[in-house]
Amino acid sequence: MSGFRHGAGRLGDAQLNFTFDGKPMLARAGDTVASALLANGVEVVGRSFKYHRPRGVTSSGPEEAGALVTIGAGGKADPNARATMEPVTQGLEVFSQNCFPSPKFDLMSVNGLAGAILPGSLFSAGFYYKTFMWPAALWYKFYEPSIRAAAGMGVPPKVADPDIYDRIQMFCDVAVVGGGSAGLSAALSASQSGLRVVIFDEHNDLGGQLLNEANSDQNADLEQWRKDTIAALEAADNVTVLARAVCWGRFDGNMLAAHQSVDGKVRQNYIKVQAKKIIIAAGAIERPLVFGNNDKPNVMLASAARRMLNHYGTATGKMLAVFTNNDSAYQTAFDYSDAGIKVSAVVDSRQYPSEALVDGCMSRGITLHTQAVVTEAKGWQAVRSIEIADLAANGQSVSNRRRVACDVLAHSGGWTPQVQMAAHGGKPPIYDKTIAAFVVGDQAPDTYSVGAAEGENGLLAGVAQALEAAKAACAELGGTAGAVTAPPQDRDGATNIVPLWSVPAKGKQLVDIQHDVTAADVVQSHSEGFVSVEHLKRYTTLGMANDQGRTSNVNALAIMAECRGVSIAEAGTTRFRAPIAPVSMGGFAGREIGKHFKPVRRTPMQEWHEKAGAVFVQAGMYMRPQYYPQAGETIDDAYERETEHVRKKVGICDVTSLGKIEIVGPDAAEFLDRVYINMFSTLKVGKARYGVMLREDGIVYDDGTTSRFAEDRFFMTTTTAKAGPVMAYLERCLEIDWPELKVRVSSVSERWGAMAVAGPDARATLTAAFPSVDFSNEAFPFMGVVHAEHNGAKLVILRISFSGEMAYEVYATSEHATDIWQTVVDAGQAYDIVPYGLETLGALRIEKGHVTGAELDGRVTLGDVHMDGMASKKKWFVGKNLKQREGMVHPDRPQLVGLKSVDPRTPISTGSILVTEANATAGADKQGWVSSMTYSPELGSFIALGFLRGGKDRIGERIYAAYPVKGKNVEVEVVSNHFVDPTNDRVKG
Amino acid sequence: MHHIYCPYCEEMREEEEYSYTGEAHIERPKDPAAISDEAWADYIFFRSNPRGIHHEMWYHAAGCRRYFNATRDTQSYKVHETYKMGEMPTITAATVAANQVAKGDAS
Amino acid sequence: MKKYSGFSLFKHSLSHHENWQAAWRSPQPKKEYDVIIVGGGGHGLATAYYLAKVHGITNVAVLEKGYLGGGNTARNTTIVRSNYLWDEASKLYDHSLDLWKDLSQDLNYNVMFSQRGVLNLGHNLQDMRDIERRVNANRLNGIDGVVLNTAEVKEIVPIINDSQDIRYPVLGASWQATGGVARHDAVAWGFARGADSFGVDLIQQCEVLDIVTEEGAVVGVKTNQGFIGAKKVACVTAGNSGVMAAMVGLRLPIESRPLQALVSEPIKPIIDTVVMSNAVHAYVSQSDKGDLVIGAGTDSYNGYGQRGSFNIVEHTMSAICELFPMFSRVRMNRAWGGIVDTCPDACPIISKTSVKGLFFNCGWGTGGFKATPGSGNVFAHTLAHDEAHPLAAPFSIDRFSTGHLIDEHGAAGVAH
Repeated sequence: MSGFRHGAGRLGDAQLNFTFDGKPMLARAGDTVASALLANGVEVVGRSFKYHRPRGVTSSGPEEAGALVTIGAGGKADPNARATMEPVTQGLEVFSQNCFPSPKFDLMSVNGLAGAILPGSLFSAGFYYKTFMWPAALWYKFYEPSIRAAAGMGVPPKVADPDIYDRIQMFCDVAVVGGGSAGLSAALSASQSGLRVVIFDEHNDLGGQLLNEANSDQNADLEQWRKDTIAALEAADNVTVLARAVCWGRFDGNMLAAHQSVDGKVRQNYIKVQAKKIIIAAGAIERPLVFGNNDKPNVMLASAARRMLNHYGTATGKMLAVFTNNDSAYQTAFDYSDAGIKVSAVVDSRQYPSEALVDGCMSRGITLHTQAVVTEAKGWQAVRSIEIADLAANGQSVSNRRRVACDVLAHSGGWTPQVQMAAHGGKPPIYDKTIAAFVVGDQAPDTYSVGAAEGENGLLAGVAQALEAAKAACAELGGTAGAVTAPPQDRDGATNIVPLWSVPAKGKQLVDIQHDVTAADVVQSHSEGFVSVEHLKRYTTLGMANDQGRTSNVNALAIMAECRGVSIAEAGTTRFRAPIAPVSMGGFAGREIGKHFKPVRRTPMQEWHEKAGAVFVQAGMYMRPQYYPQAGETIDDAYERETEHVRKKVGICDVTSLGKIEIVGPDAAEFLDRVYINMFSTLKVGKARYGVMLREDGIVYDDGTTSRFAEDRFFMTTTTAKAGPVMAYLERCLEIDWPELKVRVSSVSERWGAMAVAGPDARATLTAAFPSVDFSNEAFPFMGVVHAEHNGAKLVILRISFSGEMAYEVYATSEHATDIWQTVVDAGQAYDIVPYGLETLGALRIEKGHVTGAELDGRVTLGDVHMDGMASKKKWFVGKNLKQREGMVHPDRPQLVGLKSVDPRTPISTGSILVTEANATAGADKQGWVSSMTYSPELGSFIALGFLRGGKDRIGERIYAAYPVKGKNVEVEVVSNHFVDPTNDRVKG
Repeated sequence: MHHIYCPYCEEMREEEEYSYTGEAHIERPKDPAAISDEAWADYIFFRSNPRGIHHEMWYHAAGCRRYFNATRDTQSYKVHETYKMGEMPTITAATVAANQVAKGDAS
Repeated sequence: MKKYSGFSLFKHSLSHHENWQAAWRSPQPKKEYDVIIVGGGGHGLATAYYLAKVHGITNVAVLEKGYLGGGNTARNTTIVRSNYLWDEASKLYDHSLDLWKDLSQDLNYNVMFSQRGVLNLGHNLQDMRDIERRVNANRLNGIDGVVLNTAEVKEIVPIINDSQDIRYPVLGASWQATGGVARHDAVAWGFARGADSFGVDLIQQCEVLDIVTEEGAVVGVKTNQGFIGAKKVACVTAGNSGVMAAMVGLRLPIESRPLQALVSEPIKPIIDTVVMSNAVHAYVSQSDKGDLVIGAGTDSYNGYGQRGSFNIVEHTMSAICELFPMFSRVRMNRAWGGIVDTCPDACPIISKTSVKGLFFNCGWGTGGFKATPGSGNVFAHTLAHDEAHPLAAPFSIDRFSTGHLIDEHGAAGVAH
């Protein structure tokens, strides 16, 4: 218990109740979970990743590496939430993480105990790779399960997230990242040009480091400036203020991505902003110092301790000590002292702090230790005292160790400008010695990095930079940025830092608090040869935690640079990548989940099918009827009945999903001759022809029927799956390969609904349906095409057959398609017409030996499917050359065959492998596979199509369809793939 | 999000409207029947795949559905220019190199 | 090489870990080598290791322009499996899987290979037919595999969304129990340390600027550290193969594309296996550290920038939330892009070239990590004997003109 409420800060009066690990706690409106936990005296919030050392609040912002908690429960549990970024709401449930049974007493902390007993921890850098190998069997049984159980932080929810996420697309002229003094000024100034401005800040309250300032009478004018500026932005129509929005990445085309937390029905918005100019005013983050036990709860960044007191009205302890290597931390000591809280020491590693700081300490009675360091934080679980010592002039050793009492240690190792967003857009940042940190330097195009984000910590100087940027950005966009009142007070930004990358004393000195990476790990990594910054990161996992190394990277790089004897600039940084802060996956998904994951395409007859009780199945983007069960029917009963009915009487099937393309122009016939293997220039007007296309490499691409409507006009159909690709392919041919051809292609897939009417009674049915059309064999022979009208619908009727029965495909303008379907169904009542689905379509075509996507899988040649004879020898066509390569005509290629169950009642499973031995096991000679199967009511047997090595010459052979997955072996006879009506008489009937 | 200028629509549009369709200016063999398998394989499969300036074809699939050429840097992804089918690029690896020498930032 | 053991770790802990030996030397390049391997990624280092260990060829240098294992080895989703459709591919990958099993012991370096099993989900009838065919073929090739229905998938991954009322319901899956994941960086480091112990020179920050030939034969390479002679040069430079080929005027049937992946924050164990789905296009596993490791797809355009279009990642997130609706609250922590060399038939090229002494091992597309030991092993054989290892023979570059393409698009439809 060290933290407590002290003053009002800037919080509201409303009291809120929340719980931590079930214990009731009080908060005020405006508190974060971190400030509220501290105010309730909570010190240990969770346990660390590797050693399970106690962890408490270390910061007041997104860089938080210690206070990770789980917010909420059940489907709304939110693991690894940073307590410093989560507002307390009434009734909020907060849970500690990575500890059992409690954060104060954690059984896994034995990992840390081993480290305490041995001089160096067993779990040093790279330890995983050096051990757990003997005996090998234990890796699975013991080592890996133990590692997995210990790893991870929060417990993820196990049930679906009930919340909703939205994706939002925005456009603006000037985007400002960061709502501190610089960002607010830049946004307001830019907004006065009339241009559209968006400003992001990840906190609830805008103001950045202004919020660290005491909310005192002395600062009243400064606070008023902050409020007025925000109010002006909120009032402006051309400004969008996005609070609680973490802008986490910048992408090509000046796109910024952000996740914004919102209250209400939607949990978060994922916002993409397309900006013309980007002003990055993301501020700077304070760096920790590296000394013994610097990860102990109540060791806290100095600026955070200050914000806790001044903004949240939470004193972090009853006795504060400060450890610093620069000027900025003194203000924390002064503010605490001025608030009546005892400050037991300021420990400054520099020899000569400025007179003003020395005076400041003296006037408040604060003991100042210069040229001194904190060697170790002491206390069982949280800080209760510190050991300090004098630092040798060369910085290499310490002496005169002594204890100083305190229950919170505020430290500052300098400031790290937030360069990530700027770095996403361009060159790697450069090292600036005066502030001992990386800055952006070379700005990416359209980007202005300003204020503390660019290493300028002075209040007025940062605002001036921001206004310059706003002016320049607006000017480039043809606008004039407005004049903005400067803040009424200044804060000197000079930190006068003298780098101290680690304290020269033994002890557990953490560099990456969240991943438990120590200074010793960095040194060890160096001695083992992992010296590149990328190797260091990967070998030690440094900077890979969810704080993204914001507090650890620079210290680690500096320690490595020291080991290597090179400058920090030379050691360089790892590559900056989005996201700069972890963001929910749900935001990206937005509402594209569940049924909305991908759009569904439906045909005009969808409602009719639903009413008829169809069962639907995915077919590409479409949902198509699979079968129409009657009462009590299984899928097998239904398709066998439908198949038999089509063969004996008549059926109707929705084939709208076929691709339909109109090809028009004087060279249309020539064009088709090039893309199809067979001749189309000889096709007569009013006739249709089946065509096959190859890819350039000689593989079968697609097939379909193309009709000639006029000399210069053709109507092509493609398979459902290839409707889009074939269209794009034809366009490509015309645009790139043969621009000289005078041809236009246009997709008319959506213009026409389509239905196949098949069976011996098809002609009678259609004659009854469309009396104006002469369906006689003479007037309308096989492969004929007829145009007609019926009740306002335009019709194209093709006499073609996929089923092998006498059949027609009726194309009707989409808006009339359902009426036409109904007309046919009504007319067919006399012949007991049935609708049939994809199962029956499949059964019918397998009986006929027609191939579909199951066979044409992108690996099949013309020869494989016995279509070589179709290929014209009189002309060149796409794919002609390469189809003759040795590998494409090899006699051992699997070729299409029919397969018939020797026992007709035994199904031949799709996906079976064709072998010659009765009980094939591993090592068997695989000679082919089964691509599709059905029961054939006509043959009274299960039949299948498949590909068999040299299959064309193996008709009559008995082989096996092996299905080792289920231990099945079906004896099959190799037959022609034309099972039914091989002479094709029925279609011509 | 890349933005690509369609030379037919004459508008800057988002990359999701387009699809990349491969290296540009690969001339189709004039007499397809006369050339060897190797030459055909080269035409169909083999690509220059440079790191840097690349002339490539894009298809405005969700727009005008026309194919055009783009000069794009495969390292920086910057689209230097787009131009219609049948036209030639004004920016090439050679002009970019010459430019860099002129600016003195060749290293 | 000092052996690693539990005892050595304990001993070093007594001395604050200050006395560990470097994992590999940092030698100056010699004037000439028998073999120069260009590219110090997993495949290149494995090639060097097996050249030395199996073939006794130790006068070898690995030249790496950046740092060891810093290319695709450092940025992938570490899936290992061998359940490919065609014999050529499945045999090569299964050879690799065999080597994976004892790799930690062989290298005295724990690569944390973990046979957690790999599920390939089916979401429609055609998916399921393809799965059945592939698993049947695998079984007859001696590769383990079963076909699972929705309930059986749910048993293995209890958190999977088994609702049939979604756009792409899970209808079933193939399951290869011997598949799994490994610690990707450790694979490179382990091979590097092993190769180094046989005397192979690992030279970092050494960029090859040109391949030097005389009368159609390789004589060495020009680098930023000067000319280095070599009798044979082996390019194992995923993501840069086209650039290397261009140095000797060759073109490859390869286009280099960005491939992205991402990880979540570390969370307590929730998913025990590898789940992959072609139809919704996503794959996920959980690392020993607790991160969900998620793979996205390749971009459609060529790119060497190690970054891709963010819409690809967005789509992957939808897919992940579709399969695992509880992951929508889990946060993406890091994302990155690699460069994959894609071949028209989704199979690699392990081949001699028309230049004498110049070899290429490339074109692994999205699936190269799993092949690391196998690829190095067969490529080392190919280099040592000037003749393709029988398992490498089908992957010769002349398949593009002979028509003996393999076409594993079905198996590699999802990047991994």
